[in-house]
Formats: sequence, structure tokens, C-alpha cells
Amino acid sequence: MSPECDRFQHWLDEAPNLTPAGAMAAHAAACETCRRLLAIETGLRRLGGDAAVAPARRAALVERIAPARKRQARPIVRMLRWSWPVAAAAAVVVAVVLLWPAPARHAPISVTEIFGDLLGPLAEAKAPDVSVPAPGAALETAVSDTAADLLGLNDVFAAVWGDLEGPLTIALDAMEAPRAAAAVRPSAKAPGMKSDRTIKEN
Amino acid sequence: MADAVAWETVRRAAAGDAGARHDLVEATLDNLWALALRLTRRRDEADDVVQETYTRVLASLSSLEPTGRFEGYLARTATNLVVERWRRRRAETPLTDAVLSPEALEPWQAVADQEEEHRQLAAIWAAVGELEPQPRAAVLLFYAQGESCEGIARILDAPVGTIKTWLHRARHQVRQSAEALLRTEPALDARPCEDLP
Repeated sequence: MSPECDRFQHWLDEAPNLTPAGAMAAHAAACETCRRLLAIETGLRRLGGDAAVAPARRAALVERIAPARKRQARPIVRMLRWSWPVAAAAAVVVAVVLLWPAPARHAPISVTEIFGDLLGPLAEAKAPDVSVPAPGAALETAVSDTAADLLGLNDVFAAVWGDLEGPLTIALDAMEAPRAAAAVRPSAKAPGMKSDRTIKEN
Repeated sequence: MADAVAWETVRRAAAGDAGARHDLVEATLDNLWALALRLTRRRDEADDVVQETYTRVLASLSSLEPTGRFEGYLARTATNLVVERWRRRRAETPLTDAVLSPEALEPWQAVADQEEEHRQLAAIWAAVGELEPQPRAAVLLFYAQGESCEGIARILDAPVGTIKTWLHRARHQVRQSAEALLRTEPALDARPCEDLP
């Protein structure tokens, strides 16, 4: 045994990446210190082992660390899925706006003319005989187009009301009938009249 | 060994390209996980180290200098993380608790068939676990990961001479500790396996 021998230690320090062999191995066989150190060195070089990551573990790690492609794809799909109704609704709105018939452009008219058009027919409706157009006057000075429209609306309203008046009256009468019956019912029992309880028992 | 990651991919990943980030992880995960496992010896802890390493590196991609290998940044970050963990745990869990237990080598380590070799390897593992954090990292990077002294110097950010000194002292210390552990082996073997951590 040679406890002071550090030959193998020096050899390792000088060439740590080399495998002990040849003369050093022969020396280590004879030197107890170097043999033990060689055994430790051999053991140290076996520390590595196979350290391959299992496929399932690897996939889980990648998914946790950088799931870029999958997670990026999901919002896109979701966005496309949600955007279909939105796009359809937007297309409908745009189509309606574009295809809606544009109102005919009128020449600007003054407020006085507007009131004149509105009030004139009303006055005529109350007193149609008041303003009799002169024989030679144009009809347009007496009744304008707007007034004619208003008269037309009045006719429509009158016709609708005429149709609804009968049913509405019947409905109102039906609604009022229970109240009228309750109002007729005496609040106090008349002499000789049986009570409600007596009537029910009979 | 996978091909070196192109810095162009790193640049795209730094610009926010999720696909490039994914490619970076795909290209480097195997080696990084192997390094983490060899340093930590536990699969679940290797997972944590790998995840935290990528979190840190991917968050600082834009500040990386495009010199050397991208894998070097990963290895350096992972090793520093493990060294930090060793320092934090040093007072909490003495590593000698795991001495010579089957769990000291299993499940990932290819255990020697012969009992004597198994015991010796377990003793070496335990002895390595008693080293100071940085020499311990140097030993594991050198022996388990197969890094050169120059590579270890880059990873641990220390001069090459310092790495060689750490390795020299570590060999001496490991030999003494391992032999001492092997001498006390009967007492350890007397403990039932259920009591071992």
C-alpha cells in the first residue's frame, strides 16, 4: 500500500478527459491508493447514464413551455367561428343601407309654406265653403298635395275607426258589465233576504 | 447532440414569433432535460428546472448576445438554477440520508448488476452530493454530462483553472467520503427500505 502515491491524481489533473489505461492501469493494479482512486474515477464516469426524456413527458413539457402552434390556432378558429354571424349581420346591414331607395330630393321649402300646407286643409275641413276658389284660379292654390295627403290620412283613420268602433264598444261594455252588476248589488241585506251562506247551504 | 439552434430562430422568437419559440424548445429540450436530470437526479425536479429555465431564457431572448451557442445559455441558466436550489436546501436536507439506498440511483440510473458496483456507485453519488454547490456542479457537468473544463468554465462563469482545481479537490473529497460511507455500509443496510427517503 502506498498512501502517499498521487500519481494517478496527477495524471487525472493533467489529462482529465482521457480514459485511464495502459501504464497507469498497470500502476493502479499495484498501488492501493491509485487503485481506489481509479475505482472512484470509474464510478464517477458512470454517473451519466441514460437520461433520455420519455416521449409523453417530453410532450407534456413542450405543451407547458411553448404550446405556440396549438394555442395560437385555437383563438383563430374560435374567432372565425364567432365572426360568421357577425359578418353576416354586418353584410345584411350594409346591403340594406346600399339598396334602400334613396328619398327623392325636394327643393328646400320654408317653414311658412309647411305651416300653410298643414293649416290650410284643416281650415277647409272645418269650413269647406269658406274659401271658394275663383273660377279662373288654379286648384293648387286652394289645396296642396300635402293637404291632400292629410285628407287621405283622415279618411283612412275614419275608415279604420269605423271598423273598430263596434267591437271596441262591445268590449268596453263587457268590461263594464261586472262593475255595473256590483254597483247594483245592495250593500246591506234587505229584510227577509237570505244570506249568501244560507243560499249556499240550500 | 442536436444541431445548434440558429440565432435567426432566436431572433424571431424574441420578436414574438410563437412558432419560433416552439421550435427553440423542440430543438433543445432533450439535452436540457438530460442535463437537469443528471444534476438533480430526479425526474420531477428536472421537469421543474427545465420549465423554469425556459421561462427565464425565453423572457430575456431580446437581451441575449448572439455569440456562442444558444444551448450554452440554457445550460448556464439551468445549472445556476440547480446550484441555487442546492444552496437553499443545504441546511434542510442532508444528502447523506439517501446514501446507498436504491433510490439513490434509481430509477433513471443504469444500476450495475453486481451488488458491489451498485454500492460503490451509490456511495459516489452520495459523496458528490456532499460537495459544495459549485464544485458539485462542476463534477456533474464533467462526469455526468461530459462537458469539457472549458465548457464548464463558460457555464459556471469561472476560470478554467478554477474548474480544474474544483475537480481536483472534488475527486479527493469524493474518494474520502465514498470510502467512509462504504465503511459504514452495514449500519445503513440494517435499516428497512421503507425508512429510506
